[in-house]
Amino acid sequence: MPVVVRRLLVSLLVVLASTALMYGLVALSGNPLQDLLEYSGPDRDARIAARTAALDLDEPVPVRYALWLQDVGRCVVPGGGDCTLGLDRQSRPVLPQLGSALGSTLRLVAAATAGAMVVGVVAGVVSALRQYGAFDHAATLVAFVCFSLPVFWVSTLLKQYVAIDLNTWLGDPSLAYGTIVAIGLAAGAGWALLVGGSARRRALVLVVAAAATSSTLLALIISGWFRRPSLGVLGVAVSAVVAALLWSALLVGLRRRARPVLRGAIGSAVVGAAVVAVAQSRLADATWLTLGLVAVLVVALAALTGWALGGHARRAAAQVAALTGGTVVVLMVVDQLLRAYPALYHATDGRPVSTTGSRTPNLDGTFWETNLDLALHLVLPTIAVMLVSVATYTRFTRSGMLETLAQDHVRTARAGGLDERDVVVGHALRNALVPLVTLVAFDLAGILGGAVVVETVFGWNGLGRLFATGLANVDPNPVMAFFLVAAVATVTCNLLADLAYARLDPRIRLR
Amino acid sequence: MRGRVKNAVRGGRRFAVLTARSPCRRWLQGAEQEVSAGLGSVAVTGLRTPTMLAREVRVRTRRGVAGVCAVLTGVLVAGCGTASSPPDGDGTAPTTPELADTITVGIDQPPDTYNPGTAESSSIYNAYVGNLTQQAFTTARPDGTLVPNEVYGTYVKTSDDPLTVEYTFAADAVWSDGTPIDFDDALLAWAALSGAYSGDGATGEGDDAEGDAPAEGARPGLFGAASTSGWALVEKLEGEPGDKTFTMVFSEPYPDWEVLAGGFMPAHVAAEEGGLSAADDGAELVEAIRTDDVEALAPVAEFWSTGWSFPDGLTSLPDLDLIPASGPYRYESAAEGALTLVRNERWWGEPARTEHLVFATVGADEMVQALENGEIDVFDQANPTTDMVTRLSALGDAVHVETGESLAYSRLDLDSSSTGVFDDVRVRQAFGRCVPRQDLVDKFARPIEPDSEILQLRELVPAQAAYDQVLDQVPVAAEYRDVDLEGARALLAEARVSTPLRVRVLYAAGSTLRADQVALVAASCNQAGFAVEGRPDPDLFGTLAQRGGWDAAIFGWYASELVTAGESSYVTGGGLNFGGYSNREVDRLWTELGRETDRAAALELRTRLERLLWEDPYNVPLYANPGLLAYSSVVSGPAYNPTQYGSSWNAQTWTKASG
Repeated sequence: MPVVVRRLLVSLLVVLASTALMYGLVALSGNPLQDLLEYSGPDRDARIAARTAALDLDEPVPVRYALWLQDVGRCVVPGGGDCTLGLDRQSRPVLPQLGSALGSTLRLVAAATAGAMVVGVVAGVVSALRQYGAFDHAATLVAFVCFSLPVFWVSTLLKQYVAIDLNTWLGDPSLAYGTIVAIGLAAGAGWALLVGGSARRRALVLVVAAAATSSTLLALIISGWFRRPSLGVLGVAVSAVVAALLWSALLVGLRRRARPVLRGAIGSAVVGAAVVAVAQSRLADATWLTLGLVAVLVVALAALTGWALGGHARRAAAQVAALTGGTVVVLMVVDQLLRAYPALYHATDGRPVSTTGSRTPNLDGTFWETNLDLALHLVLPTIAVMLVSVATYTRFTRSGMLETLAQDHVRTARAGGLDERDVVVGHALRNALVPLVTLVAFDLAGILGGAVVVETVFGWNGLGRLFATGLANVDPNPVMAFFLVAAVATVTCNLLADLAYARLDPRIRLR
Repeated sequence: MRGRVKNAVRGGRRFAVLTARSPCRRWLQGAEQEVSAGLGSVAVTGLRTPTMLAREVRVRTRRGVAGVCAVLTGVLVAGCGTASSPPDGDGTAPTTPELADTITVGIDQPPDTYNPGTAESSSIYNAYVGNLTQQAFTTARPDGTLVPNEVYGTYVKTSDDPLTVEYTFAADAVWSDGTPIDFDDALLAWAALSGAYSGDGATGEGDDAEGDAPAEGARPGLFGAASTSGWALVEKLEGEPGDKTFTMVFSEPYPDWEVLAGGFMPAHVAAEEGGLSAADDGAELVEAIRTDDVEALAPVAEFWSTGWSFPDGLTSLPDLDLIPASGPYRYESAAEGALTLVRNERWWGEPARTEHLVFATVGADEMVQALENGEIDVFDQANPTTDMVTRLSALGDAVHVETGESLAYSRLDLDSSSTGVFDDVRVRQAFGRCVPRQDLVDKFARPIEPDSEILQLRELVPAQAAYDQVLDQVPVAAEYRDVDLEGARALLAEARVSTPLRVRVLYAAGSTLRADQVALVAASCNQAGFAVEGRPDPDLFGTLAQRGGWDAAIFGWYASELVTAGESSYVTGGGLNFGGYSNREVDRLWTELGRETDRAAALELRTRLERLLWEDPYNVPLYANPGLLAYSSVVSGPAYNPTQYGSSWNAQTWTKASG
């Protein structure tokens, strides 16, 4: 595949050039001995000498860059000696630091990318379908606000209102009735915009959704759900059936011919819920292995159920049923995490949502407590990093959808009598999503950049911290380690995106 | 709902017609039409005509909608009420307030090693942890006075010439793994810290390693100690394995001998990791050092230098067997920059009050929110901003804030070399008289610490106990307390310099604080005949080292508990004497001070030095920077401490009410 080889070579050159530029900029950004020159301890000179040796400060910057390249080369070429990625200014190898920093940052990047895609694509599709409607205008407004919000500022606000104030509220979960109604009305208004339709229909949606939201909230508060939250087997079962309905409606429609699929999906939801009911008590002290096994079991049973009940559409039924099974697994995990909440609440002295760090120190909890703690630490930084990406995805999907919806093949499909769901999901959305592949690769760099700011504000020991402290200390090697990861990831993703593009869109050929 | 309900009989059925003036009305009518329209295709059922059916449904809908409206209105009217959850648990409050088992201290950066004596140890927070896990023969009080730590052991000076001190570890002193703290630990400290085996020419005999950096690129030999100052003067310790007593004999008098006796590492761990047996109270290691068996010592030294380092970012701890403690707390675990200590059950002194102590790494800007959110319980800040103080005071009673003057201070150094603008002592005196020090204190220190005052000494700061006593005997300092423009002008005239005299004041680029301060200095001193120009410099200390590029420099420095710490700033040719100041009497006093082992006599010498440094000034001390300690009101015990031990100096006495 000469194309791939050529692209790889070009990518390599791009990485090389950008690292050279970056190294020079960092190395020249200040005096790396600044803090030691201000230091008056008896070991001042020894420390200066140690740092000079660690950073090769006696060499000019280009030579230092070459030495750094050599260090990188040791990691690439097998048997090339110690792979350290160079030393930091305290003479410690950078590679182990990179390793420990990578974990938490990957969690953040993965959560933010996934979240941004889901929210962005849904909002974009709905915006396109309701072009120039209230939802479209609202989404456009929100997207542009997200584009222009400084990440550090959003992070600080999130910490104040979502962490500190929410924690205080969780300590005594109570709401004035007026507030409950107001929240219900706001939710209702949101649903009304989302569902659309005639003014009357929207008003009906508003009232029903408002009433449902308010009464649910009221019930949750009065029953003390916010102190001991859980979905329960019943909750999982009901949510699973609803999910089965939604997945069937979205993927195959609810018309008569597709009824077997719906039957299979609902059947799989029931089977999944049954498995959950049985497994529930045993999952209390789960590990990743047991959880994985249960997940595979649920999805496999769900797919089998779909296949069995699917009649003439058994293939589609099995697929939708497997999706439903996956949803059941997610619900089960959420349920278990919620059950761990009271213990975590106690362990954190009643402040479960945190503003700093990526985990509660010294939390010696069960599998679920530990993971709930990680999730609660992850949620605010993820939201902060996501905002810009959500805006990008929304605008991108919207314009892509509008473009495909206006194309001839869509009009032909409509003229041929296909129902609107088939047209939108099967013909328009599929085509509109192809360019999104490029965007994901492109957006990764943005998310990594956002992670730098967010990790600093939220006190995470991740890649962003490595970068920020390295830069502040004029310590090039940790900065370069971050940059290497970011550059390689971006270049690789772009390469993969180009290759995937050619597969997804037969009109494009790599030459 | 206000409105009129009219009962009527139509088609043999009673139903209500709502003619409401409520907001629901228009919506109701709309809904009614929609429902009617939707019924157009309903088939005839039973005896009812489509029209009848439509009416019936219309009525039901109206009733339903009216109901919803009524409920919503009712809820709105009751809007002042509050829905709340039932209290958790059995509802009975505990009769005695419970104590929490964990207190969390916020620190800016994680500690980086168990062995703070190595050259690679650089985190100032090592001392925060160390005073709880590894004790020494002395501790420093918050006011800087040194007190013997008699729980750990006792010491007595038995001779002045040669300086000889006899130390005795407490009889029940043991590491947290049960091994007694005894002679091998002291001997290892000597081997590592005296530089006897460092291989860079530093021998144990009278070679003060200060300023004697290893040659360029040279690997440190055995034991990469951060400093051999003091220990280098100590003769090899004599004793037997298992002895609780050892004697330090100094080849030369050393004024800071009392702070030396610390930094004891567990020799049994180093010996075992270095391939020696730890049996018989470390007899093998003692023998190896006694016979200078460098080959046997090399792996021990290697472990001493690197084996106790923590991974960067404190992602984990070394094996707990390697890091036993000799204080009220011992190490338990670490993850993501947070270090957990647990009460040391083998500690022979007063037990720690709280089971766990966590040091969590939190950025300085994030401390206030973390404290508010209960993620940390205590933090201190050496460089608080007024913004931080404002945000903390906004938290009200939930947080206690203590401010005080720290050991860090701001000063203005003058290029006093023969080529400098301030060559003539009268010009330096004139500058000292025109710098508006009270203004600087009022604007930059008092907003945070209201009791801040002008700094009037150079080697002592107000936070130190000796400050007032010494200041009383330095009357010359008072001459400079108030701005004296007349006096400054007169001195300049006397010195016959042409005015306005240009003074380039160097300060750290990007510091608005320093820029504002230089502007204040300029506003005052320009009236006295100077022409002050601010020179922001991104590489302040690099530029400082090269004379000629600056005339004066404003920067922060810090006072130390060590008697000799300030020497290199003032002696002729000193490494930190950027301005080329030289005064033979000052040099002589420093030399004398360097040999004085009696604390009272040393203070007397320091007083003379302070007097001299005002009569022939090299710089202008401005003010001690304010420091801050904040802690949650559920915690009791923390107190502000500006010394190296910081907030955790008395953490073994803290308690926290359970939430």
